[in-house]
Amino acid sequence: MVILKADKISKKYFTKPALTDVDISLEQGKIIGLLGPNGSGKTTFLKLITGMVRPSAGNLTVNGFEIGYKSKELVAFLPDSEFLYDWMTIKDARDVYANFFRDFNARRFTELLEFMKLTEDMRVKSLSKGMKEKLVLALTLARDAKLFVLDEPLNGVDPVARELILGAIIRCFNPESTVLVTSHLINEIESILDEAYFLKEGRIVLHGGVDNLRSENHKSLDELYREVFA
Amino acid sequence: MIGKLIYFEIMKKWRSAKYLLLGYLGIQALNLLITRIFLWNNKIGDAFIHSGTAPNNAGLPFILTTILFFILAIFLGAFPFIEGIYRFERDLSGRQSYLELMIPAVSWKKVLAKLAATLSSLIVCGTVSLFSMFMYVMANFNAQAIEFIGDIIEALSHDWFKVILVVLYMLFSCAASFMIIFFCITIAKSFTHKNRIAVPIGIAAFLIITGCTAALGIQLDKIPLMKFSLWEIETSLSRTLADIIVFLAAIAGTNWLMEKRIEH
Amino acid sequence: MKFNEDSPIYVQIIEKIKADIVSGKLKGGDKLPSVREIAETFKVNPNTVQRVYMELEREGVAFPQRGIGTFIAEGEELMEKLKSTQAQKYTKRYVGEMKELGMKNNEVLDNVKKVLEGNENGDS
Repeated sequence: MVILKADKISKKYFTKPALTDVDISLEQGKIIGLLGPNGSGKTTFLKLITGMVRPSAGNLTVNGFEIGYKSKELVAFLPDSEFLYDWMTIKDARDVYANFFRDFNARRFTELLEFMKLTEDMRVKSLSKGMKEKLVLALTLARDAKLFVLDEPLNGVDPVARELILGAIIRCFNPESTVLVTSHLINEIESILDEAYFLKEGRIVLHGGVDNLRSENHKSLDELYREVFA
Repeated sequence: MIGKLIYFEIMKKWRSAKYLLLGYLGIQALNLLITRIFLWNNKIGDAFIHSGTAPNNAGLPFILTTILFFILAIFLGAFPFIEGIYRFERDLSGRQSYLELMIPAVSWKKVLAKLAATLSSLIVCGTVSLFSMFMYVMANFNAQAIEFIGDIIEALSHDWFKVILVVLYMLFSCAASFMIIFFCITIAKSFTHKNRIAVPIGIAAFLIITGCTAALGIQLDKIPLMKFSLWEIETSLSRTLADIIVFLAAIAGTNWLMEKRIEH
Repeated sequence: MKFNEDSPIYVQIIEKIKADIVSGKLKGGDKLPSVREIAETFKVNPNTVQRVYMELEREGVAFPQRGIGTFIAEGEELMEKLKSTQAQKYTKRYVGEMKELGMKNNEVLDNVKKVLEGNENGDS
């Protein structure tokens, strides 16, 4: 079953193209990587899915819905920049999510907090960058969403936290959901992916199942990535 | 959903303004105390004056404290306007706009929630401001001033229905002004998030819209459907209808821009 | 678990499990960890682990017990078969690499002997 369908999506900022003729189709029950260097259009694509920006051309649907508040109910988005208010405690942030997202699973959030070694009375303002990343990931993964869209969840956090974050993604992944994750840390992310899309200068240049890419090229995804983007 | 949105908006305002409000109450209480204890040397025991005279040895310190008191009170009354505009701009293009845009609700609901929260903060701050001024006058001015206020309240109480109408009319005017300002900010932000360009666009939009509505008002006054007046406010049914239409148009326009144009 | 470069991750996990069976770390009748457990400890996609189990079942190395889990198959015959195929696989890989270095058959054997004797003398 196809959860996300992008059909010849293009996005221009004024005249500068950010994405050109992107075709992506994501199936239920898979973890898919959108890989490419900074400025390749990864974040733009995620913003299109989550309704932060609108396509200049092409069609985009999530579970059959055009992008809008209906699709936002189904998509859990982890942006790559901070977006919580400084005055919030972790409990406040949880309440906001629980209020606005009907699919928010408070019990799983509590579990995830424990897993991430965070407590509800902590203030967003006092958290380190890595802790903030863990908190927003816990908020995002605690939703029973159809599609999880994670923008650079491993960025700017130390190796121990990376392990924890990957563990959390795997732990919350279930056959009814789909995860789309971007990263430029291919080595770290590779083992959790079913499929990978390589995005170069706004175009998809390579797509395939990770196992197939490996056995066809006799190379790891990381080596393949270096080859494509060298 | 709209209830939850209003709750969230009020929470945002409360969390950022509660210290301001507490600080205001603290400073004004101190002001009141100073004028009562240090700048008066008689009748310290009386909390309020019932009859009598102006402060006999008040002088400059008293005048300065009084000016400070009223400046702060006026600032508190104006604060919801400034805060409301600032917050709306931040919600569209600040760091937290991701969260705003993630919330699965149609834009006009979000806009109405912001409007409702801003009006509530206006009511709260306005009431506190007026009440503190009232307290100050009661505590420090002579009987004539107090009688004057008493007379006004007396006069108003005979016409409570009219009072409610005027209050509603004023609230609606504030709501309409806020909505037009929100609309202008949204217009500006749909062009760019760079404030160097967005601010002039917003101001230009505001001037054009207020100009047009004023011109419309003048034209409508020539064909008043039903003239009526609320004390000093002369108005007509056609004008009131036009105001409502402008208000609704501003909501619809803001909704359309937020759904179709605003990007982050 | 560190994954090497050239073969799919599921193949590498299969190899690891087979190696554990041959070495005796896993015995016939042992219960394998759940898909989710393996996925979480190795930080691998659950679908990959699922595929590992499917392959193991297809090869007859493991069998599922509905509702309980996946178990290692029992039987001498299977063990012997596994032992010899794994041994062949590793030897082929070694011989292949030696051939790439331009070694002749007797040189390959000599080297094996040298390493084995070295091991017996205690310096590996």
